[in-house]
Amino acid sequence: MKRKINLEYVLPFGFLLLLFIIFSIINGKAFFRMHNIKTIIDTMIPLCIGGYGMLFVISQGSIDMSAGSNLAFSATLGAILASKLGSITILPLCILIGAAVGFVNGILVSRFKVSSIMATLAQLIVLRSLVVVLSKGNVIFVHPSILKLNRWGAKGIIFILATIVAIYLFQYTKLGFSSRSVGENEIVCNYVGLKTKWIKTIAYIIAGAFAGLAAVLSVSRIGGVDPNMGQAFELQVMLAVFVGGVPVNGGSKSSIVKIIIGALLFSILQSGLVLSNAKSETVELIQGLMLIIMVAAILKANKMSTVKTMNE
Amino acid sequence: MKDILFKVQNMNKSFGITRANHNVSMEIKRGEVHGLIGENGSGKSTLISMISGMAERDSGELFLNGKPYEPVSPLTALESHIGTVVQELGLVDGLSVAANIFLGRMDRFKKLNIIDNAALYNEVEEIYKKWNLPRINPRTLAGTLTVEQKKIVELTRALSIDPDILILDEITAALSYNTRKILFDIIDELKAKGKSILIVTHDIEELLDLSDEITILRDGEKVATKRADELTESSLKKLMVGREIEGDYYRADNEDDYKDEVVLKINNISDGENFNEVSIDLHKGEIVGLCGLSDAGIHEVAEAVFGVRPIVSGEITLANGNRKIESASIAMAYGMGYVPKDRDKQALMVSDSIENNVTLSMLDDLKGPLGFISPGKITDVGKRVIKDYKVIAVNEKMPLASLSGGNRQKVNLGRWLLQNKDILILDSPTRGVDVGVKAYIYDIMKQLKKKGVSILLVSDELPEVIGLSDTVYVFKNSKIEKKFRRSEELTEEKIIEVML
Repeated sequence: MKRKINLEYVLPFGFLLLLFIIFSIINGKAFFRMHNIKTIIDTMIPLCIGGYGMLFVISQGSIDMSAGSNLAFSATLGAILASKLGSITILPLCILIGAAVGFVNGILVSRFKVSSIMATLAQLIVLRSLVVVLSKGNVIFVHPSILKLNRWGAKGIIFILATIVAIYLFQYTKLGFSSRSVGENEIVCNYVGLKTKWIKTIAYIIAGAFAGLAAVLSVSRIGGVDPNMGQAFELQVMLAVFVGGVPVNGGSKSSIVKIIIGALLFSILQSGLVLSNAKSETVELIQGLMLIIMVAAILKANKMSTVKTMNE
Repeated sequence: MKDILFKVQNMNKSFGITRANHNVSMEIKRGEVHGLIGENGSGKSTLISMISGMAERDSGELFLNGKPYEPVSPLTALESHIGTVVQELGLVDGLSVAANIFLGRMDRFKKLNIIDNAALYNEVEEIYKKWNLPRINPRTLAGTLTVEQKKIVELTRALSIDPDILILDEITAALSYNTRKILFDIIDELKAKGKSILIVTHDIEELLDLSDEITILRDGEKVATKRADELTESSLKKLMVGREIEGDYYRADNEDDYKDEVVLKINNISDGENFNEVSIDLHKGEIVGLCGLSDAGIHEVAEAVFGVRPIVSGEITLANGNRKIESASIAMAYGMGYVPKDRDKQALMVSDSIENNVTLSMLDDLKGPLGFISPGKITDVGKRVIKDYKVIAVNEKMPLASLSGGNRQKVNLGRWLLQNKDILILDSPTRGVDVGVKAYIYDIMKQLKKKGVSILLVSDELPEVIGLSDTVYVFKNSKIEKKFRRSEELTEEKIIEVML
């Protein structure tokens, strides 16, 4: 049987092209100015980094709602500890703290069988309140040397390294392969001797570590920790992940490239709309619509192929 | 000559370029069992889904009692007293057994617009009694049932309408010996009442036994309709495949033959629920067969041996490195492979590609430095399984859902064979596959034995257990009841006597 054009691959590219054309017409030269391109990349980097971690969880058919709160928590605790241990330690500290939070999520989901949305939703609330307790509701300023991380050189290297690590782990190792397979069929994974509980836990640890990395970049950008930082971060990340064409139920069609495309789409849309003086409500409206279209189109495409093969 | 109850005329159905049914015509006589047979993909299930209102036909006509019959939905079929048990499981997991049986027909239990559950449950119990079916609590959720129990519920649903025609698509494969018996009694009863049965099964012996008339399909077209007494197993196979099946189906020798070396020692294991005090020695080059009734615990023993089901006492030791099996990863690392009973739920990721399904069972072997698994290697093992085990597929990227049952099973087996495992646990390896693939799988098993591979064969099909095993363990009430050695005198009757 001939395979039809793969909608979930084609659609995000189509969207990307469409947006590109629309905005280069509307905004003209302003769209191609260095400043705008930098804005696009600046929006894209945290989405990608959050998305890389989240992909391990989503590919297994689970979800991590706590990414935004985790970002704020690791930033707060990291900043407090780094002020005593030396500014440069903020990078490993945030990643470690994020990973530790992820470990708790993973244990809740894999050992105590709490459904992933419930466990991480609870964490979203718990961590946010811990942030307020730790910071006493105030903005914590960090040592100016941390701002160096926001320079393009440093940021670029961190982003590229993170992308390489993510691609390697997710596309080319047993861990990534098993993650996708758990999303396809967890029972089968148990029957071929994979330690599924452990795989699930590791996925949350990785998601937490990447949220911690995103926290460092946020801190270096604003020069401090705001107790409200990272709010709705997980939703934006998920938007990028799903708009990029990652299936909602995970499985073998999940990939890092799809996240990069999703994040790029999201960022271009945002900057393009801002340039054309659209209101923020309009931006959100269009993002929401885009998500609905993508998810519906992917579901439809998958359903069509299942019905076909079943009838064979 | 008996009169005709149901008539199928020039049915056509295509999926894209595939012609699933091409001008198929058939007549079912009153009070007779009509068998329908053909290899996987020959169009049996398509024909049945059109008759039972689950699929639309492209063209063709259907007549019930001489009148045109237009099934627009499964409900019309039920109203016309055509009851169907489909091949794929057709129950709603989240509903109770009773609700599944009367799905879409609940109105009659309504009192003041509220479903009278007591009446509903009563009615279900009545049906169990009437047909002498094994009782499955009507309050249980369908999702918690075993495959066999689900089949019984579907059968109950089909019988609940007092069918004029009962259609059974591949039901016996999922049933244990005792339930099959009950089904055969039901078939006799229906026949005596002048009702008809349309039955599809891969088990040729059974089909010849049950049917009065048999229609053979090949590649979507009817080959012939013949009286069952004019056919023999080999002539029927020839009609199905279109050529002679070569060689022996089973082993030619009549004595057990294996090395003295014990490769796997199962010592007095119990799981506290399904099996008790089971001890088995598996020798190099030996095929050990396990058989028993549905609740005898044989499938659970297989799971425990591979380390996926925890045991509460006893131990399973591999001679290789004197390792105790505590988990499936240990079993795999020390040369064991396992083909579980439920292919599509336990063994294969159905919507994933062939290559990924093969890779899944050998991730540790494909790892390079730094744990790198290259896509090239993944493609390579996919290609090898297709080539070495004659899987019919466009390429290694195809999703398994696009393959027929037999080809899926070849992938399922192939992924272990590729790794040259020393010990294989095969649970119902030929379940739901056609004769061609069946013969092929038996052939592979014989070759493996010759190479010194040891096989633990768990099966509900006695001819296969007898035909291949060196040693047969018959289970009864969760325990080993009797051990038989391979011999000419070992017959199905002897085993059944022990099983019951």
